[in-house]
Amino acid sequence: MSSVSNDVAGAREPRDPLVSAMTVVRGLHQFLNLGVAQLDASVRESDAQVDKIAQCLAAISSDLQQLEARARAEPAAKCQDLAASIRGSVQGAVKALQFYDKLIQRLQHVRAGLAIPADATPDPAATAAVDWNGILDQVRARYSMVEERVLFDFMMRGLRAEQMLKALQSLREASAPGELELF
Amino acid sequence: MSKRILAVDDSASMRHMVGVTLRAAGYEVIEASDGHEALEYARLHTVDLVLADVNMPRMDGITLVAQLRALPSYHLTPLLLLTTESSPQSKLQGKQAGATGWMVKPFHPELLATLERVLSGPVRAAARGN
Repeated sequence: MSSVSNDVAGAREPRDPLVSAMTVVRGLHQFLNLGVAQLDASVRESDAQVDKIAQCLAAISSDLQQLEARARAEPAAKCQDLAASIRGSVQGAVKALQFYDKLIQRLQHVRAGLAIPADATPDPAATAAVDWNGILDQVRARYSMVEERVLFDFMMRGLRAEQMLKALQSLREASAPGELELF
Repeated sequence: MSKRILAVDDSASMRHMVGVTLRAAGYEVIEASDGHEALEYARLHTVDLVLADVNMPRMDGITLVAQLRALPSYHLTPLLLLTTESSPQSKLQGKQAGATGWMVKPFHPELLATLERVLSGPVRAAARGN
């Protein structure tokens, strides 16, 4: 993989201790900003999906009550429309519940992204030896989702957390998950 | 007799969601938590379709596809990858390994329940060309 950024000034061969220290501080600031954006994105997405699950469960509960009432009063065939409605709600819940898998993956990657620079800088006084571009390459290589890589690249462009989230929302709206692409 | 699908994912919740959806559509579902476990099962049994995640411990989904394609009994079996990954490079790796298709999570239950078309002749023939 090619180096992810040329934006971090003096990252490849640090010479001046002051410049090196500033590079480390700037790098850590960027990482913290990325972590904030990743966690915000996870929380927002999780909230939205949990809300959908709650709506689906409410619909299932309501439909079941109607189904029980109809089953007592009407022929079984009349219950088919309600059964279809329940099936639709279950499918909606199944789709929404998949947020959990994505959430866990993303949090694992956030944790790894924070651990890599922390492990690389055990001694704050030895900042001259820190290879930031190497660290950044390691962090980016851990990501498995396009959204994560895009957020990372936004960080390298110096976007703030709110700007990253806005751009990420546009990316999500343009993507089409769930479609089967046959080779 | 219902068709047998091998669902491979290290996430128990995802396996459960896939299992609920496919069983409701009338399929028999065998679950495996990683590529290694799936391959062990596939060596001893035959399945009609494999639906695997990409990023898994011990053996990832793309390696699993390549290993399954090397088994004579799996030359024509549809092998689908279901993943959060959607980069063109990853899809190309999957295709080169011999995957039949690629689906980005989250899956739509109604789409997953129509895997019958993937299990039909034309798609199986496409898998042969990989």
